Amino acid sequence: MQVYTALAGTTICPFFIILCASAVLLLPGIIKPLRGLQGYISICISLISLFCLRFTGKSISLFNNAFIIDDKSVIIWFVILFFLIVTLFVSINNKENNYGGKYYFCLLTSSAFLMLAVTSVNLISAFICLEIAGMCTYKLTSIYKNVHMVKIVKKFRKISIFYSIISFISLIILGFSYDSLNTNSLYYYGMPGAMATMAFIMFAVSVMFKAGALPFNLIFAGVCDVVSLPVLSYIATVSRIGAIFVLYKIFTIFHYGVVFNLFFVIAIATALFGELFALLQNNLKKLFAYTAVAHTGYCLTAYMGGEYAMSLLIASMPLYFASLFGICAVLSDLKHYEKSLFTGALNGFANQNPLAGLCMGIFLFTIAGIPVLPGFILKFNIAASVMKTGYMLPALFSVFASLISSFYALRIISAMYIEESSYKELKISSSGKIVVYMMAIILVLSTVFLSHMLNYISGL
Amino acid sequence: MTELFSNPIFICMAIPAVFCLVIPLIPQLSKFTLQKVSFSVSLAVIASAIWLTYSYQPQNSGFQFTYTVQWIKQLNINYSIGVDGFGVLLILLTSFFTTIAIALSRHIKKFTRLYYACLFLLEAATIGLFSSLDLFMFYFLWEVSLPPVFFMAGIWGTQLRLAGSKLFFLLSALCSALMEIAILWLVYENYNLTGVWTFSILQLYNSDINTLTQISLFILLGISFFVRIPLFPFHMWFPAFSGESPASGNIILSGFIIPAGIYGIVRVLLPMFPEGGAVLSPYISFLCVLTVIYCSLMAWSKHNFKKLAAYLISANTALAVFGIVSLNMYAVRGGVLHCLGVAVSSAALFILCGCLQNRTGSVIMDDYGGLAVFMPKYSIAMIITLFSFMIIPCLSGFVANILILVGTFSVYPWLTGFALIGILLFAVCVLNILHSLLFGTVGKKENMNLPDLNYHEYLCLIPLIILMFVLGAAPDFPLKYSENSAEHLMNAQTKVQDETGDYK
Repeated sequence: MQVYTALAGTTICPFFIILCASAVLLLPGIIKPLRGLQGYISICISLISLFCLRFTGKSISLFNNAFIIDDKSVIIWFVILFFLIVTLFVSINNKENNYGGKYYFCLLTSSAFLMLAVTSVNLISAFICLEIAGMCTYKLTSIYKNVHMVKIVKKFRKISIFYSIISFISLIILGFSYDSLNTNSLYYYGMPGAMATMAFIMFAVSVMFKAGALPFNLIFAGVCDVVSLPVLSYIATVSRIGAIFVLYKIFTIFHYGVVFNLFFVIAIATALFGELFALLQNNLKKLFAYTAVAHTGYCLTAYMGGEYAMSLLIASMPLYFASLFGICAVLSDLKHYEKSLFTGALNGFANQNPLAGLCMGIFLFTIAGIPVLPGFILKFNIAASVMKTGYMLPALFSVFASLISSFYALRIISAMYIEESSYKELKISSSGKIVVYMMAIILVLSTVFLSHMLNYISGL
Repeated sequence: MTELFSNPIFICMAIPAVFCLVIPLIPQLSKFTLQKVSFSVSLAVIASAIWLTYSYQPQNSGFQFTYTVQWIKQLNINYSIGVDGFGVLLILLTSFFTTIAIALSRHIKKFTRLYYACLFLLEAATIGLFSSLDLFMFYFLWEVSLPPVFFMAGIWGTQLRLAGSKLFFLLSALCSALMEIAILWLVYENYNLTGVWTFSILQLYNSDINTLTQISLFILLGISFFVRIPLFPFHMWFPAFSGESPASGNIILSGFIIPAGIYGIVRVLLPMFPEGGAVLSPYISFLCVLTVIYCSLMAWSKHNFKKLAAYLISANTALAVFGIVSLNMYAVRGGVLHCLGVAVSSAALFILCGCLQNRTGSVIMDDYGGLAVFMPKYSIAMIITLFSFMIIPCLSGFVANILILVGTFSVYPWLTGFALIGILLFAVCVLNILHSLLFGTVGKKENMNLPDLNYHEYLCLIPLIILMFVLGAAPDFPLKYSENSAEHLMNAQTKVQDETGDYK
């Protein structure tokens, strides 16, 4: 009882609720009457966790300062939990696969450790959290196998293991170089020596792989292509959060110097090539996977813009996630008509579903940063805040990356509104409509209240 | 906040913006009911624009009805509005052209709600653009107009579909990136000089940026405006686009999308970079004259009436820009007046193109001929409209062209001579159109006995023709309103001349 009271008194409570419950979810394999209800149980648990979140107005340190939970991390937890619930909802209604306890266990455990990774300020704890979340993500991609999938998922596993070994080795080297691997204390050590710098870079590279940054994660789009759409929407959005915030903490250690600039070359390259590869794709799943890569690039670029850009980064996440979840909900229903999801699959979509077509327009405009939707303001603000700190080139490249995105958005919108569909009926399901409309409403509301949202986040 | 809700600019902007949001939520209405509701809303916008014009005091210098409220605190971005005389006139025209475009939208059959939402979004964005005093807001609203304009030709277009609209979107998106870079660079330079991170247009007017940077920024921003205008060699999209777009889309394009480019030059480009403007003025003037000659020649060679009209409009808009960038008081006034006149005449010309297209489905001029016999009212409207572009007394082009030529002659006599050749070529082209359409032999027998203008078309054309006469016979009203803008430009230029000792 005392332990429970202690946990409930901290903001880490939701994490424990999820973790414990997700372990229980494996039980339905044994307790037969619960089979088929795992999805609903998972939603209930996530909702309880969501309602447990609260702002304390102070930072709470846990486990010998390995994790620091402040109000900003509570917002990110909210984002993770919210989109976890959406993923669960989409998964339950996904007719393509009948997901079982193992699937829901992986989703919940992955989210729980991502929540922990976000708050982690110690490189070792960050490593552990990201690795556990990564393992769950891998399991998610490999739950339903087909011949082609086995090949690419095996490759993905090999590469993941390779990067895990790299980060493990780098941690051993850093362990020998420093007394503590807490990022706050590492910041005060100043510029590390050559060996330690190398280790930092190795660690950062392995985290960048998890965030989907180029050129380290070239397999990301391939993996997204073979997985089901609920899994795609999860791994292209929520599963990157932990790595992005761990990278931010590594960047703060290198607040100047060559390594700092090297990171930003990677950031810009990720945004630019992510958008470029997306433009070159005809396969919609790969296209949106590359938009996720580009989004990682923008997030990494935002690190240059200081504290305000971080608020922009936090604000951009739910908006991007909402867009991608909305798009995936539509694609998930289109899959009943068209097995291969190429751009042509959306031909005439808006003719037959005017409101859903409008919502798709909203999602695409948000991802591409076309006004009046918040994507435009956020991208401009990130570029402006980066420029304000004196980094002119990264700001310019991010503008060009954003320009590329408007072209593929235009292509898809043209297909939806102008081309003729080869199907007489191209309907989306009611559960799909719920997700699409909900996400569109979130985006419209955030357009109206964006400045309030930004002020609130930066005030925390 | 009460002050904001009683601000006529905000009301002009808010009515279409709110209606644009409401349209998708309205339950299924018939197309005609939707058109009627939209028409009523657009009349409300006209009423508020007239109130704005009436309340504006042209004798007072500076911006009026100013209002500023914080938008994004951390980057000092504000929702800042205010108008000068030129802005007031353009807002009035915007509301007027939107109403005409709605009146001509009976033929729109698919995505009607999206269509009217796009129209009102364009109207709100353009009114906001003409009253924006914050550079981010200006850029934001500039960008807002891109997707609706693309949809106009792409979704509701007529023939080839997409080639012109895609070209427009690609060019505009590219230029938007250049504009964004220029804005960030300008704000950053100002920040380095003054230590203040601001997007306020009025504060940026006083920025003391060096000449080289001014030239670079002028080019980056200028390209975006020149594409919109459209000046040679950035004009390719316009004939292709207008060839595909419905009449309502073309009216919007020539009525307030193209003038937005000219407004950009007057509001941002010349006053913000006076030294850059002084250095680049001869080159832009050369480009304008080249556009006048080139477009007049191209118009001569075209058989597609819509494309021909697009070239005629390009030539005339270039002439207006020539007047403005020559930075002579008479020429600037003439340029502003011509900008308004061309917008009115272009709208009428596109309506007349649309009339033929609606009757026969063809816009190839060779298919027609002798229309003066079958369609006398149409012919009279066509003659007045085409003559209004030229130097014909009592019509809108007369005073404007004279002012431009007189003003520019004192600055660039040779270029004015060439511009005059362009105007003559243009006149020949106009006579050619009149001959082949109205008085020549009939190209296709089925095009004989076409019905004359109907009541609906008549109602749309009459106010435009009245405006052509008003601008020609009583130019004092628009000149008085645009005097502030012209003086502001000239003051900025005089300041530069005083500093450099260079007098033209």
